Amino acid sequence: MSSTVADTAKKRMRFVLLLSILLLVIIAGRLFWVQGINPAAAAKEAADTRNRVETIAPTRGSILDKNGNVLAVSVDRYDLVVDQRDQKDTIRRKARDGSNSRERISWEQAIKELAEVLDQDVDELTKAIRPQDGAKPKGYVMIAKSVTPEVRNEVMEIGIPRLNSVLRSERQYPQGVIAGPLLGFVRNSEDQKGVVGAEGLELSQEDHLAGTAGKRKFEVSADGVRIPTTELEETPAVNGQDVLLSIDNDIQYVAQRAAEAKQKQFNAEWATVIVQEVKTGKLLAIGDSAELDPNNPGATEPEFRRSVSITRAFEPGSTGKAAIFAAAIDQGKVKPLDEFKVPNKKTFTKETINDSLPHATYDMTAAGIFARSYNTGTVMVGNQVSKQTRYDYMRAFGLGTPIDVGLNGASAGQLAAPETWDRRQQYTTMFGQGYSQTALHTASIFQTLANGGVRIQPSLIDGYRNEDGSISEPAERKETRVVKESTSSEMLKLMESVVESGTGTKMKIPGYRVGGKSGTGQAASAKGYDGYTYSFAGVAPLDDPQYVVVATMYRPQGNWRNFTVADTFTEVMSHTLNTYNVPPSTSDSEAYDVFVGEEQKKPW
Amino acid sequence: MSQRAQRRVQKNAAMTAQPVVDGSAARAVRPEPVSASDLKFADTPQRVTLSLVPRINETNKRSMVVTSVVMVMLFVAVIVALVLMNTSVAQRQYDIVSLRNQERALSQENQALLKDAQSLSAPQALARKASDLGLVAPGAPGLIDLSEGKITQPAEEAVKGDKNATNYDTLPLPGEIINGSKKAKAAEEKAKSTTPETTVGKQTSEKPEKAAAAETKPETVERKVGDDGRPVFTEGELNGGTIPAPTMKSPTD
Repeated sequence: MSSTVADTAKKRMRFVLLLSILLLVIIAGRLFWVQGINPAAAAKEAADTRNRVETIAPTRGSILDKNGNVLAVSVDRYDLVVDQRDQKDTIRRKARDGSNSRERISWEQAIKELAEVLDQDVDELTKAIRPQDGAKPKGYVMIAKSVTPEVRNEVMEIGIPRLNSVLRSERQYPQGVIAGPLLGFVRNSEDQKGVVGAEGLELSQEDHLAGTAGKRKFEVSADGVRIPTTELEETPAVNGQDVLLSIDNDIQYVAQRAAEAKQKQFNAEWATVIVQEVKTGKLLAIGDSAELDPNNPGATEPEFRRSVSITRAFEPGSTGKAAIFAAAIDQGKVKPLDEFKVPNKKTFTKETINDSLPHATYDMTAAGIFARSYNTGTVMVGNQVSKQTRYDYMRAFGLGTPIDVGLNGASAGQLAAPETWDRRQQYTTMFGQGYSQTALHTASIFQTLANGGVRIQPSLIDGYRNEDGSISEPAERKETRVVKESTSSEMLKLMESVVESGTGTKMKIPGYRVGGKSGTGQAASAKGYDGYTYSFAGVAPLDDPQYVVVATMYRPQGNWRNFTVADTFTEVMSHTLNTYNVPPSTSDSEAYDVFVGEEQKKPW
Repeated sequence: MSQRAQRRVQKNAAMTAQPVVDGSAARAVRPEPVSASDLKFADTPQRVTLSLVPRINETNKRSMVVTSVVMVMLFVAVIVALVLMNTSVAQRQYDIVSLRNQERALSQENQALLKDAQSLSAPQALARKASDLGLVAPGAPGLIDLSEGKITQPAEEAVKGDKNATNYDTLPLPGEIINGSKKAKAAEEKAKSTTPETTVGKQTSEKPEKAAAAETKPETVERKVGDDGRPVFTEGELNGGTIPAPTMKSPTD
C-alpha cells in the first residue's frame, strides 16, 4: 500500500511539474515573442492605445486699468460646426416642451428654429446645413462663429444630429472704444483654438498675457474610459499674467472724447490728448480722435488702428522752443530777465526769420520772448548756445529716439545731426521746425521740465499680476537728469508767463496755477507745407507739478484764426486735477514780466 | 573525518510517534530515532530514519471542505467588491463630468454677467445715462481760502441742457458701431465673407446695452424736455431730489 501511495504522489508530482514547465515554456515563448521580436514596437503600440495626452490651454491674461477696471478679457465662445454626411430625412429629438417624450421633426422646422436662435437667414442656413442638389455632403461646415454659451445650449436643444460645438477662447473688450488703439487687438492663432496679439499692447505683451500650455497624460482602457488607478501625469497650465496699465479709464474717456470733439470741430485729420504723471512718467491717458473698438478693429481705417500719438511725427512748432530755452538757461547763457530787442523780422547769416504776425520792435525779457513766442527773439536766445549743445539737449530730452511704451510702430521722429543742418535749419530747429517728433515726445519734454529736470521714461505698464495674485514689477524705468533743478524751476516760471500774459491765456484753469507752451507747426506733405499742427503742452499745478497734458490737432480745416486747442487742454487738465483731488494752488503767480519796463500790455 | 550532520528530528514530531513497521515489510532492525536535542557527534555515521507523511484523517478532510468554501466565498466577495468598486468609480466619473459641466456653465454665466457689468460701467455708458437724466458738465468750483476767510475763486454755474458746450454723450457705447466707420464697407465685407456672420455671438454684450437704451430711451422720448433742456420728471420719481433714484431690477427680470 505504501508503494501505491508513493506512486500516486510521484505521478501527481510529475504532472504538476510537467504542467508548470509547459506553462513556463508558454510564458517564455510569449516573452520571447514580445520582448525578443521587435519589443519597441509592441511596447509603443501598447502605450499608444492606452496613453492619452491632452493639452490644457492656459487662459490669456486680462488687461486692467489703474483702478482695476477690465479693459480686455478672454471668454469662452463656441463655433458651431455641422457634418452633412449620413444624415437621415427627419430628426428625432427630445421634445422641447419640457416633457420626457420624444418627437420627430422635419429638417425645415429644425433649420427654421436654428435660424431664429442664430438670427440668420433661413435660406443661407439651409445651404450650409443640407447638401445642395446632389452635391457631395461635406464633413465640416461652420454655421456660426463664436456664439455665447447660452446660444450654444439653445442650439444644442434643437437636436440637429452631427452638429457640434467647438470651444474656443475669444477676446472681449467690455469697455468698447476706451483705450482701443492702446490695447490693440488679437487675431486667431494658427490652430484656430485661441487668439494671439496682433497690435498694440496685446501684441507687445504677448509673452506676459499668453501663459504656458499645460499637459495632462493618462491611460485609458479599451472602452475609452480613464483607468482610475493609473498614474496621472499632469503639468498644469500656467495662465497668462494680467497686465496692469497706468491708464485711468475715466481720464482716458475724457481725453478721447475731448480729442474727438476737437477733431470734429475743425475737421482736422486727427487730434490727440496725452495725460502724463509728472513724478512717475506714467501715462494716464492717450486719447486719439479716431475710435478703435478692439472688438471690431476692421471698422477703423488702417492708419488709425495704432495710436497717432506715438506713430505720427510732425514738426512741433513753438512747443519745441521749450527745449532750446531750457538749454540756454541750463548752460547759464541766458537768464529769464535778460533783455532783448525783438524786431518782427531779422536776418541771421543771410537767413531772414520773421514772426507769424507783424509787430513793432519791443524791448523784451527772455521770458517775454517765450511767452509771446516770437521766432526772432527765440533765435537770439538760441544763438547763445552752439548747435552741437542744442542738439545734445534735444537728444537728451528724447527727441530722435522712438519712445517705447509697449506700443508697436512708435516713431522716432527725425532729428538730423547738427553737422548736416543747413544754414536755415540751424535756426528753424530753435523754434520747432526742421525736425519732427510725436505728441508723446512733447509730453516727455514737459514732464522732464516739470519734474526738476529729471526725465522718466514714459510708461503705460504699471505691473503684471501673476496667477497667485502677486504683482511683478515691470522693468525699471530709466531716469536721466537732463537739466539742473534750478533750470527746471525757471522753466516753470517761463511757462507760467505764457499762460499769464502770453500765447496761452485761454489755458487758465480756475484755482490752479498753470504753465505751458503753445505751438503752431507747419505740416508738410509731398506738396510742401500745406497745413498746420496746433498744440499746447501744459503743466499743473505749478506749485507742485503733478500732471502734464498735451493736446495736439493735426491739419485742421477752416479759418486758422479760430484754431485752438485751449478748451481741450483745460477740460482734460481740470478733469484730471479734479479726479485726483489735487488741492488748488495757494501760492501766488511767479510769472516773469514780458516787456522791459512798467508797461506790460502791448499790442501783438 | 566525516562531519555529516545528523538529521534533526524534533522530539515531539508526529513521526516519532508513528510505527514504522507494517506487516511483512517490517524491517528487522529498527534504528533508534535520534532526538534533535540529543544530537551528538558520533564516530560512525548514523542513518536517520525516513517516514511517510501522515494520512489525511477525517478532521483534515473537514478542514479541506471548510477551506474551499472559504476560498470560494472570498473569491465571490472579491468579485462583488470589484464590481461595486468599478460601478462606484464609473459613477464618480459621471459625477465629475457633470460637476465639470456645471462649473463651466457657472463660470460662463459669471463671465457673461461680469462682462455686462463692465460694459454698463464703462465711462461712456455712465455718461450717456447721466445725460439721459439731464445731468450736465459742472462749472468751475468755488474756492475759499480758509486762512484768510475769503472766496478766492467764485463758483461758476453749470450751463443747463443742450447749451452746455461739454457734451459727454459722444463716444459709442460698447457694442455700438463706432463713429467714422464706413458702414457700407462693413456691409460689403460681410457679403464677401463665406462664414455667415451671426450677431448672436455678441448678443450678451449688446443685450444689456440695448435693454438699457430701451429702458431709458422711451423715457426720454415720452418725457417732455423743459425749457432749460432738462427732461421733466414727476414728483414721485424725484422723491424730493433732482434726478430719479436708480431703480433696482430683480434678478428674474
